[in-house]
Amino acid sequence: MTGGPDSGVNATQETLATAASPGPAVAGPAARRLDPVRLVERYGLVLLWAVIVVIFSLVAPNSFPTVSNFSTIFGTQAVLLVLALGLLVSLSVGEFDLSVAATMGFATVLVALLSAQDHWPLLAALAATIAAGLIVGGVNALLVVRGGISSFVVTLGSGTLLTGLGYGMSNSQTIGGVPGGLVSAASKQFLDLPLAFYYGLALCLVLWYLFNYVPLGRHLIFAGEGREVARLSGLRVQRIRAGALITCSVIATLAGILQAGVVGAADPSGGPTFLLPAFASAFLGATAIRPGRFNAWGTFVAVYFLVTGITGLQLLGYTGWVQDVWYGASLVVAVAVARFAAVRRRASAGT
Amino acid sequence: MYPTNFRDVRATPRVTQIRRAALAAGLLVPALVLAACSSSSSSAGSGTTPSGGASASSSAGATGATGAGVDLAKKAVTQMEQPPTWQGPADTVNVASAKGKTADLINLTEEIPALHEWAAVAQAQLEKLGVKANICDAKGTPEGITSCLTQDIAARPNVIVAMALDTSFIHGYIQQATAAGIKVITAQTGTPGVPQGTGAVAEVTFNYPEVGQMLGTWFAASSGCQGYPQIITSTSSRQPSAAEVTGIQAAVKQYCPSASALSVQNVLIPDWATNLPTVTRSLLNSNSAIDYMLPLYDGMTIYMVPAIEQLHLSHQVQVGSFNATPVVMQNELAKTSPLSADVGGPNDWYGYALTDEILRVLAGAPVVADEHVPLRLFTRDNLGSINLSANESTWYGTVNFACQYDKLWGQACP
Repeated sequence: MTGGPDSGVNATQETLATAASPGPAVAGPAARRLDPVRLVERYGLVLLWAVIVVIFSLVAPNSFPTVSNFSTIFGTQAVLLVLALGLLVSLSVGEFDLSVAATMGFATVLVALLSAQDHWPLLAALAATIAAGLIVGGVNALLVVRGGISSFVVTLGSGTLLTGLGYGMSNSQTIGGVPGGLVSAASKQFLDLPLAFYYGLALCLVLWYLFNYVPLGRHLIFAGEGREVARLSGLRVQRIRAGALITCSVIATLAGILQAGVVGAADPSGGPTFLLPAFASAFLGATAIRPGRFNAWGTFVAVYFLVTGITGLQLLGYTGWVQDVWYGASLVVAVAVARFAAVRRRASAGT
Repeated sequence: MYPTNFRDVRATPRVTQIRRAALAAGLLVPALVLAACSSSSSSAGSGTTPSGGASASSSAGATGATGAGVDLAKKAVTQMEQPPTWQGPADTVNVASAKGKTADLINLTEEIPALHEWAAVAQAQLEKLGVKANICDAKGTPEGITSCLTQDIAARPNVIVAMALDTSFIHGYIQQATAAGIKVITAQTGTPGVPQGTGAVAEVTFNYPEVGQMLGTWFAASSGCQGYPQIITSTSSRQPSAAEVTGIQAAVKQYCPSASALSVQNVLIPDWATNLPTVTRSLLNSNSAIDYMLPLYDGMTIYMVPAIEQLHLSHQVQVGSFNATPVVMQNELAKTSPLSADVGGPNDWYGYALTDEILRVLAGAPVVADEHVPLRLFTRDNLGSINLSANESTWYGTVNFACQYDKLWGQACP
């Protein structure tokens, strides 16, 4: 059951899901043979990342290939990495969570409001914020899974609602004075990188392990790739979908908390701007490491591939419109490549 | 256990050369786009800049101090740090002629606190004086702006106030309103003075060129013209931003005559959260000479300051900005932070100034070219003279602007 009456939105979702869905799970003997095309498919993005690093290093030899610049690349987008990783959980089960960035923004405002303005103990503020994320995910899941409404529509609505609530709660003002404990926990540096980066890396490891070595991870993928087949195989597809949506919201909430710690303040308009970069990263990530499937390391590579491109362009003097062009073009190319890979795989399977 | 169709599907030797080529092309397209961008970088700027990026950086900067210029700048800064005095209009208004008339205020967005406050103060004062005042929230979108304008022109008020709307975008609507006998006042488009060529009859704005002038002067005084400033604009707010940048450049040229053109980078408002941290670090990485950053609005600093701190440059880089937003003043200027200067203007005072101009237009009196809404430079030198916990309107000295305006309007001063 895809949920709700079929519509253009559903059709789009299915097209993208198809583009991203088919992928290998168990390697056969033939797969172990070195196949250059397959290698390019798996590691093309990594290769491309290396290529742009080389290009920028040649074009800006004094500023790009420096420790400080690589610290910039890896150290400034940890929040985006966490958000994109949360998104890949819902995308893995074929559900679009368009509220993910708004949930993040809402969480940033909420944790700042509770801890800085209302002077709650930090742990209580964190617990309340995570609980709010659970509620957001729960409501999304209820409407999508039980209500049978398209996740596209539900999360578009809930995201808009959360954005409005964030503005309302903060009186449209930036909230400062985030407790030093949270700021330190996110911004303190280790090996020239903020701790936030290591949290993103740790989440990446957790999701990689989940999707590759834990039955639940396989269930998530299977439920996303063939919902009806998964149900007939005895999987509790509805619970899996609901769990994925709730997990996505909770991880988005964690990203929001991290953002409050990194910035030391909460800007109610800050969250929604992460939506396109998060989707671009998740989709671009689906073209790497495990091509055709949303995967943790692919997302990691994609986030830092995108950031490398943007940082390099910034060093060359391009700001403003460049970021949108880069993210947008990457998203289109990612979906096109994923689609191409899926078609090629189906054609190969049919022969 | 997994279903049998949940299996690996590998590429077969039948993959054609064409497919290989297509795959390779798909992967290389971004690289080619990148290469194209890179190759054009030497001739292109950031879109709004006299010079942008690394290529510009080598020739920018304000070096070559002139002692006299620096001394003058320091004196000017001392003056800018003082509480402002009343320089508003002197001519009274016959409020009785405005009574019963209608003013429609179209606000770019009610979600920005300052904009909300300006409109709210003006509405409250106008209604107190018997003028019907409506606010239409354009929600910051082109659709919202056109919807408010269309609706208000159809409603035939006596005055429409276009608050923070780009006059080039609404030019056709101003003409429509004028043709329908409605007077249009523009607000916060950047430069005080009776607007020319827009069709509007009056303009009420903070003096953005002066804001820039104050920031540029502070830079000259603080650095002794030996520093290297980097301006970060946001063309989402096109007219005020351009005016502020012009003001900064003019002041630096005035006090540091041997300085070359300043580098300007642009980060659009929707990209502040995602882009400002990397832009800040990239700029500092690409040019270690940068020791002053001048973001046009202090809302930008919440993303820039952590980036500067992560590079361990808090003591080398100083930041100057505009708005004197309470949360920024309390959490950055009042603490150890790269933010060292913040220019501000009193929001309630502006609301009264806007009311005054609306009353003049409604009453058929000559408009005031410049309401002279004051500005004040806040640094750590004068921060002790204000109470950061009190309402921001108290930060601008003891002038009872409400009383001054009430007198102009023939009202009893409380």
